Amino acid sequence: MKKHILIADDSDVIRSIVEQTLRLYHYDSIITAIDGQDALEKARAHKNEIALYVFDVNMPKMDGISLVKEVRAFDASTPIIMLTTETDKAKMMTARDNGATGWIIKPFQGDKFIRVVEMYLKN
Amino acid sequence: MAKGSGLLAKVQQLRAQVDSYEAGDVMGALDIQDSISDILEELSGKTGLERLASLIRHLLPLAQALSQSSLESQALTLLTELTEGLEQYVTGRLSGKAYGELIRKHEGELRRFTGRAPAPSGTRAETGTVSGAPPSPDHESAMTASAESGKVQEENPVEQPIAEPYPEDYFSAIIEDTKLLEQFYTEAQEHLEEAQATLVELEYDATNKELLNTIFRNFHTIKGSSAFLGLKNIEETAHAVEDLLAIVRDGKLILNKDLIDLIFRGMELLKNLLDTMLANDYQKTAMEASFRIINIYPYIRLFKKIKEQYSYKKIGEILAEEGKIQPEVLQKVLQKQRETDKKVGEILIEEKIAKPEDVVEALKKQNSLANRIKKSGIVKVSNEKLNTLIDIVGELVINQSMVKQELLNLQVSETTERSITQLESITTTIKNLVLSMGMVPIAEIFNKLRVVARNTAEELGKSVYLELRGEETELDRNVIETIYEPLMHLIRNSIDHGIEHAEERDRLGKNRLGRILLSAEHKGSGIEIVVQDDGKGIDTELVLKKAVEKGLVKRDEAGKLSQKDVYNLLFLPGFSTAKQVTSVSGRGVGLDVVKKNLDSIHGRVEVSSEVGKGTRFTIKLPLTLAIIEGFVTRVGDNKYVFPFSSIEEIKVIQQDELFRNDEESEAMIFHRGLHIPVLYAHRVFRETWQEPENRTMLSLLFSLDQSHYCVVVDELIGKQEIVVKSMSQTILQDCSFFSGGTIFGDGSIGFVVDMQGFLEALK
Repeated sequence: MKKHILIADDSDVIRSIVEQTLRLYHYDSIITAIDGQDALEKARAHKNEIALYVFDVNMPKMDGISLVKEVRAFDASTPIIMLTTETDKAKMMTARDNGATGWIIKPFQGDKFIRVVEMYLKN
Repeated sequence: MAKGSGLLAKVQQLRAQVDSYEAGDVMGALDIQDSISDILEELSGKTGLERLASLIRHLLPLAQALSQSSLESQALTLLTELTEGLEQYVTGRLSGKAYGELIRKHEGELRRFTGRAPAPSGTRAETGTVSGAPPSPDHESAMTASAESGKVQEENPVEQPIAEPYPEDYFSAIIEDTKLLEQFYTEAQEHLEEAQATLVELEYDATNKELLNTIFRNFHTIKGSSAFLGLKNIEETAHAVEDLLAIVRDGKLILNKDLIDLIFRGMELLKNLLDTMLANDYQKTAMEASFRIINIYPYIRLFKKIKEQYSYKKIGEILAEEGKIQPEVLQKVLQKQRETDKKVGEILIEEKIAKPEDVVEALKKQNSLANRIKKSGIVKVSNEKLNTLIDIVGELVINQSMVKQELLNLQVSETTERSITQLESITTTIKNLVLSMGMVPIAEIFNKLRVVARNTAEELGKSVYLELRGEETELDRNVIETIYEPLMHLIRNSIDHGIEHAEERDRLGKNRLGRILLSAEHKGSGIEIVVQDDGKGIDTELVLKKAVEKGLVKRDEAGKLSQKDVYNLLFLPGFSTAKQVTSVSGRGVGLDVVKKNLDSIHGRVEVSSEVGKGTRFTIKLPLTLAIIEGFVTRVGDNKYVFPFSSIEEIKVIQQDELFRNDEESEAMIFHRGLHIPVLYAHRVFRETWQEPENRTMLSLLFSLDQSHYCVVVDELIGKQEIVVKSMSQTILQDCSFFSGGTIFGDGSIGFVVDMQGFLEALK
């Protein structure tokens, strides 16, 4: 069953903000990854169980854009949302070409983030 | 802030957001969705703008599709084109017709996003299904004008095509004198305000000539001055309302709820038009652009339709309409009629202009139209006379049964006995008839409450629909007067504390429009009134916390209370869970008033609630106050009547069942697992007490507010229908435990006990 939300970000702060926000709205099935490699392994391990991916763009070991490509190799349909900064526009286009669904500019408000999550989980 | 300018600003904001949107920008997509919802909110309930709202609703699925990679680019292209068109339409650069065509052109594509046809050509639009925005039920009911002859169902204006309603030069006569226009605005607003107040009064006094004249004059003046200034749309609207009111004023039609609703709609339409003037600073070009998007015709058609139904038609008109005679010929005939004093029909036949059978047919038609215009056969009687009548009939019933008793004791002849039986049945009929005269349909206060709900919701910025059921249910006039205030508090309470704001409801996946059901129905020998909302429900934790803070409940006892007990805390004086004091119901007055008023008419209130789903208040009332079901007892030398509704059972108490916790405390019995205090009626009534001979006592077991009491009396006489008669104030002041007196068939008198007062007297 698709139930988990996989969050990949190398920043402890961002990871815990995203995780706390999700838990506040009772999304309790959360998997976190500290870099691109970690995320890819966890994504493979939980294949078919993940409902939504949230990837940071700049991560060590493997960046978010490559990560999207890798994940899309075995999961074509699950939405992938990228976390990015205002200056990353060009990278976003590459990410979209690789199969990312959309992107959110950091910093963002918790309730808006939740609406995005809800929107994708509903679809 | 003015209404029209808000719309333009919002549409422009939407356009900017769409223009700067970049594929994949999820937050940007959310912003666009929000802006569209915002515009829809701005338009919601605006009379005359329903069609525009339903067109804008098509944009919402497009905005939602922005978050789906596969649909995104197509959705964006379409959204860009349609928002651009919308902006042009709102600013007057694009006609309504052209905008409608633009949407129609993309019908096929739109269907991909909504799964349905956008139906721009007047077929049923998908109002409510695509965006979740509700079709306003209020609106539908207003579109139904009913009269004695049956119902007239009119098409919903929302379904009208967006054809350009006004000719090119329709607004060209508007004068360019901002000062005069401003003056008109102020004057018209004043008239509308007066009209609104008058209409509310007419809801209760539909045939009051003075009120009808006032409201007629209001619309007449608006019509007159708008015509001077070239504001043809305002003139036409006011004219339509005036025409309808003229029929009402002439007594051809009685104002009913549906007609009043319709007039309210007309007033809202006028208010909208006036606000548009203000919003555009009375500048001709800008006003014209805004006026063009408000279509007045669906409403005008409604008014005209009703007017036609209730107007007499002349024979000549009917024949001309059917094409049986030429209009020019008719003019000549009418000329002749004035000269000869003959009837039109006669002339037509004599001159062989029309066939006799056609004239007969037309006469029949005229008759059937006229028959629909029945005058209501209502006679007004003053409250005072009615109350006296009810009183006297009560005496008649008593006297009749006294006479019967005495005659039967005398062993009278069979004929006399028959007469007595007949007299009895006539008396009963009169009694029932008179009691029913004191009954009025609850619609009377339901309509008032509709205004309360409307105003409260507006005040709090919430969207609420009040659904009424069982308005025809009849209740004693005095009961109705007493329950108005409690119901008002409950409804205000529901809107204030129950119903969430539209955005909040949106987030919770609820319908944006909050719903409150107000219903009345007969249940058993009483009436049940329900106020039910679909709001956030009662948070028992919060109630308990507050009750502890206020010292209404001890901290250690709080955990032991049942849910029902917790709900009952709401009815304690000075209780309020509102985080902020609001002007509506947050001062903690309200629910305790509800209970107090209901107590005074032997009513009860129950609460049930589910967090997140809503709250339901159920009020149970006796049908009438004049006649109650009583249980007659003897205490000392007098008869006392207890209200039957609160008696649970009759209990014979053995002297040795009694026990006391200590010397000081009152006597108790242990019955069905409960410790029940035993109360001696003679102490309250100050009667002498005779020690029972066989160590047994007779008692009535009462249940009041979830507590039980045994009331010891000397003798149980039995259940009986009691005509309650009021007692003099001086007696009642001394004895608050009586609610009235009664006279029995044998001429003896009895006292009707008020249980609340009885219990207080014991303390």
